[in-house]
Amino acid sequence: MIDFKTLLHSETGFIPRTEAQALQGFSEGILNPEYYIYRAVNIHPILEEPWDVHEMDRLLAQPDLDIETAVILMAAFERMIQDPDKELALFAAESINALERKFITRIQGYRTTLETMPEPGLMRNVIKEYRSLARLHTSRPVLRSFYLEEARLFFEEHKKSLVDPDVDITAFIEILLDLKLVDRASRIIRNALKHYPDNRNLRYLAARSAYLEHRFSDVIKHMELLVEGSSDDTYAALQLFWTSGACRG
Amino acid sequence: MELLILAALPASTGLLFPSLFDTAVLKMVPYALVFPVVTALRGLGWASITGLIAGSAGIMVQLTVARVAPASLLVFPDVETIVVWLGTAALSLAISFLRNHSINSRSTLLQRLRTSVHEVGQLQRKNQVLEQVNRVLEGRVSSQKDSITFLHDQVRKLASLNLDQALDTILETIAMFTELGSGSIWKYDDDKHGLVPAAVFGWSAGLPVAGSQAAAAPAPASIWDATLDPDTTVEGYVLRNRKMFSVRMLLEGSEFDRFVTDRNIITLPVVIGAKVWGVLNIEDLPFERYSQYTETILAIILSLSEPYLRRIVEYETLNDQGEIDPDTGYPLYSILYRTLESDLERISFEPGFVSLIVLEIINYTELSALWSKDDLRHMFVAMKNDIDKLKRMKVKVFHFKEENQLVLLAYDLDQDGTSFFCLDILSMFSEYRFTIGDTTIPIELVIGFSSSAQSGSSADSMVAAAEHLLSVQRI
Repeated sequence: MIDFKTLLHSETGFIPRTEAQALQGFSEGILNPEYYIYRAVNIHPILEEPWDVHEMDRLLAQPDLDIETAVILMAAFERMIQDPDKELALFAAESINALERKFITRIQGYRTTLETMPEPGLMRNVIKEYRSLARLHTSRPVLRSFYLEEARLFFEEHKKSLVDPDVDITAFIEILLDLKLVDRASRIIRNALKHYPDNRNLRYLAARSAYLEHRFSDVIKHMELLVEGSSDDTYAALQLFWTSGACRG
Repeated sequence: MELLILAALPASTGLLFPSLFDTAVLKMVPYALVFPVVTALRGLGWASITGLIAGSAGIMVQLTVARVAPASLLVFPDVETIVVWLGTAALSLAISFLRNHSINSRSTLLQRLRTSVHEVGQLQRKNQVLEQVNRVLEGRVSSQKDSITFLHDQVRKLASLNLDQALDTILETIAMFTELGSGSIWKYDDDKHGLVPAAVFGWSAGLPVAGSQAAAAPAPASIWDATLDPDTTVEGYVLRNRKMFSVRMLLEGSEFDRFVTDRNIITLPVVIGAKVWGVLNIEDLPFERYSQYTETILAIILSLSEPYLRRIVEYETLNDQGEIDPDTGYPLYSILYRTLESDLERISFEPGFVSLIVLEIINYTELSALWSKDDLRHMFVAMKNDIDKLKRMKVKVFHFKEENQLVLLAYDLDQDGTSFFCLDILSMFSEYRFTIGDTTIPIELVIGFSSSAQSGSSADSMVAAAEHLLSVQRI
């Protein structure tokens, strides 16, 4: 049997830190395929202790960091910040700051471009990033509300350009629901449903709004009116949960 | 154009250098050469056409420039001429064969090259896609939060003897798996005749009340002042009936009409042993997370927490019996004995072990001459905390028969595990210095231990085995 020392030998001295680097090294012929296999199957989840600070650092440095990963990173940093190890706590605090700055920089970039090129796509990106920031601060209600409020104000400022029921109106309603402005959201949903009665997103939001107001029979009513989509769509499981068997209203 | 030049070449050569081609055979040579040359360059077809043009040009030159009579051109060729032409034909055919073979080989090679280039391109694209997929998978795997390993990590944190910390961990785990906004764990308080919060998550101030009733609800002075009436709340219903509540059940009948249901999305009994100890209430849950999955995951988390909670509650019950040291807060020997008995009884029908570890400070007399009793008690607490940090495993601590002795009860360590545990403690205390004020003194420690895996199933035999080891070490 070949030992690890032989399998994981790197002639160039390049030691891949990630699975992607190992794959790239293998593609360029400077690493054995075993390196790739080793990295691919040995990944430490970032939420698990002991903290993998290098992995967090690597993820944090990604320019196109997605919100899902950012939220998980934030959850890890929130826990790290309470660590008795001061260095670790400091790292967490700085990382939270960097994470927030990353999204704010994106917003500033979009806003600058918007001054010369007022395109709905860019406006949607601004709203999306504000909502991402709100998601990042789920455990800090004040900051969360602040970013949601920014998203709401931005939408209202540009509402003439943002008229797509599936993208814009649903996003606006979601912001209102996240801000717990349920009455206003319900009014908008009712009006929108008059124009687009078969719109699945609007119908789903109507159910969500009813749920927040504890009108559970209305939830079922909306879920039943939700036009059937493909079996693997986002709403299928919820529709099945609410409308099947004993929960039928 | 080049073929026309080649075709004109033999006739032109005859005209320019007539002395070189003075015999009939020599005159034929330039014409005969046209065939193999053009065959090599363009193939047999073009060679025939070029040959015809060259022949026609030669005849024209003979008729017009050399003034040869047309009849003299129609004579039958002699043997030498025929040989030249046959040789030319054979050479042209051979060249044509070689040329065709070469063209075919080249074409095959080109085709192979094209296929290879195409395949390389495809592989590069495949590689790029694979790299992208890899990056995504890598992110997903490294950032997974609903993972079984994460759940295990969280459950391990419950192995403390601190009830508040354990309940907070349960709520934190639930939040990670279900994204709940707020939730709480309630237990029945005999003095208040109602349910009081044992742990809360996501409460900004006071009892959260849903929707429009939030403003009207009287806010208690602090979170911990909240009290629920067991007769009019869903929490009370769940506590009494040991049944889960889910808001969908409101639509099934009138069973819950008499209860206040504004705060309850999912409510579950927290069962410890065979009894309902308290109630877990999910107050704010995102719409998309209210599902069968969440109901199941809540039940799973509570079920996994049950053995840990049972141990903590048992320990707290013992502490509440009053037989504790007022300075350290550790239970006395009588409680140790009863705990050991009940643990041994439990493991007689459940898998697991219990280990009794007695720590004795040899230089206690020296220490007590320097420090007050309070200081020494403080030292015991510090020692216990350091052991917790070292082992990352919570143990129950008691006082033993003498005041220089502490006892640790550790669980699920077999005989070898207990030995290693004791060795680790000894190794830690070999360099241990305890400082109070300006005085720093090393602590000399001996350890006696016994494990239910070896020392039988009675508390007496375990205590005796540990004391025997202690006495051996004192010598």
